[in-house]
Amino acid sequence: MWPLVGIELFKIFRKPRTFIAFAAVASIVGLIQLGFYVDGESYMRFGMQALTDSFQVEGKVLNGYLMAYIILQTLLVHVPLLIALVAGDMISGEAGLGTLRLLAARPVSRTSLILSKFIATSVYTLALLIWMAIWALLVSILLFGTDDMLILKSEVVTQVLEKDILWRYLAAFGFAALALLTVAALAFFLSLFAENSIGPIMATMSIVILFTILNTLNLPIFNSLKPFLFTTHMLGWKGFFDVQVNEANEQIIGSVENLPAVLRSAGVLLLHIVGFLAATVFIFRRKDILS
Amino acid sequence: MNALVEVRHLSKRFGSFDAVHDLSFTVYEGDVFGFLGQNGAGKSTTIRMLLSLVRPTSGEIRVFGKELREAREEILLRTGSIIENPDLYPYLTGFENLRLFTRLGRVDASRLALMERLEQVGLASRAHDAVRTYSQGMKQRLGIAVALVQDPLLVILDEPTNGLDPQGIVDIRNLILRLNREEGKTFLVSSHLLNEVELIANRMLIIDKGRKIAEGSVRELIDPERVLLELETTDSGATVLFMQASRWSDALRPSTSDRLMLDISRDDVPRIAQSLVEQGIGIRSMKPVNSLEAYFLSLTNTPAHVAAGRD
Repeated sequence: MWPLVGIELFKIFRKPRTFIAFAAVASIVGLIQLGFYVDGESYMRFGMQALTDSFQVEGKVLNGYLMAYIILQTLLVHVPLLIALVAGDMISGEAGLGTLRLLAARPVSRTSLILSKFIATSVYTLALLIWMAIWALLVSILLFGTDDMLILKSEVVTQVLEKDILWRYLAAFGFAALALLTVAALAFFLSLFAENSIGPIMATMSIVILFTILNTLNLPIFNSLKPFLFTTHMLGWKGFFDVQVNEANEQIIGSVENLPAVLRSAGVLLLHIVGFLAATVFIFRRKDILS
Repeated sequence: MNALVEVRHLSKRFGSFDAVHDLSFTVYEGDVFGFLGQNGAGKSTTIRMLLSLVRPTSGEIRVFGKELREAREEILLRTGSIIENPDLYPYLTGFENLRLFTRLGRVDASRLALMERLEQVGLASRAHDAVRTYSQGMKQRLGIAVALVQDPLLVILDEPTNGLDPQGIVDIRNLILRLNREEGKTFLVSSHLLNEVELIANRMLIIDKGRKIAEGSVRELIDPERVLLELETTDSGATVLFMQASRWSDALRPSTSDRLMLDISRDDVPRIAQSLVEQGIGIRSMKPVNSLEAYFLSLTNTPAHVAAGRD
């Protein structure tokens, strides 16, 4: 199957639309960094006014780690839409070109064909995530330096020590990979039913946007739905930045406050990926290729 | 002769529509097998079932003596195909497209071998141009190169001359005949262009509305002594009345209001002309339809100008 994956990757990375997402991520992250580089100090002073009235805050609050957190929080809702650009095209695009019938008439099993396409989609997704990590974390560290990270929430402030941060980012990006792969698997599944890529791309975007809106509405009727929406669990990466404290109110290095909840969210996303992929393989194996 | 493709009682139903119904035929090793039918007759659906792209509703397909469902990959390894007009990957070059499908066919072809295939279909000079810059005819020729690249025993071509200019059609026809004679490849070629099939096929199958209406050698199926005549006169009503009362009443075939179709022997052509003149009916045109087309039309009951797309 690996030669097939190589062929699929070759096709993905020869397609101009593949690089739209990379350019978009670099542009958006670059713009956010530029904005904070120019006006960040005054923005942070304003944002931390309530805190600095009662506490003395020392050190570099606006540092590379905080920038990466802000960027991740902003982009992880939108990057899935960029993932859909490629994943939604994987099967429907071939159907539209008339190449799906050529592929399916070659001496490879349909299961191998579809799995190789999904693996290639996953490689693309991970490549985009690594690209985002480079821009969000490495470039931010180069521009803004490092220090402990302060995360302001509505009622609490979490301080993550500098020496305890990097592994959390690794874990957060690992979790984000699952979140993005869930969207990729959804777009890939929807791609099965169309003969041009616009339909599945739009359908994926619509589902992500709809679910995200439902997540933000704090109404009882929607609250009961939230545990079943994959978008609820896509933000689980933030859990890695909630640190446990001991009885002396000191941070426990390497701890996560609610690890079971984070793992549960990761499990839900994983189940979605497996579910969408299994459904795609099942249907594709039985599908009449008429396009 | 070895049977290479054996199709038995093959049917495909889409909802309430019978695309193919109880179709049986055999392609023998060394054949150039013409698969003839009008657009929508069920040719492409049948070919898609032969390539396991479409699941039959019922029936059996055996290729190289093996059941297609059980030995799909083994069969496809030795089968080259092109189905309708594939656009291939427009953002890749012709050479890259060919190399990609070669790898999918589990073939290790050298760069030289790939270029030779492109040379064979007249694309060597454009090998490194993006396919998006190709004409429809060039894409069609690249598709044929893709079908041939894994050196298959059986080549299935669905409407291979679609989009080709007259010279391109001749080139593809010669290529098929040469590969058949020199390399012993067996071809199954579908077409709605009747004269194309007549020129290359030694055996043929004619289907209409998903059903077989004839199968056999081209020589068996075509009677050179008979001709389908398209007749246009100054008074078609009087002509019909005269024909119905004459000894040629059985020769009348489904016709339109201004053109009559007659299935007659060649010797009767001057006799009919003379009789019409004697009846005072002026003849505007008498046009014999070519032999295979005549046979096809007489079987499918289609007026000649409809089949030729001239309505």
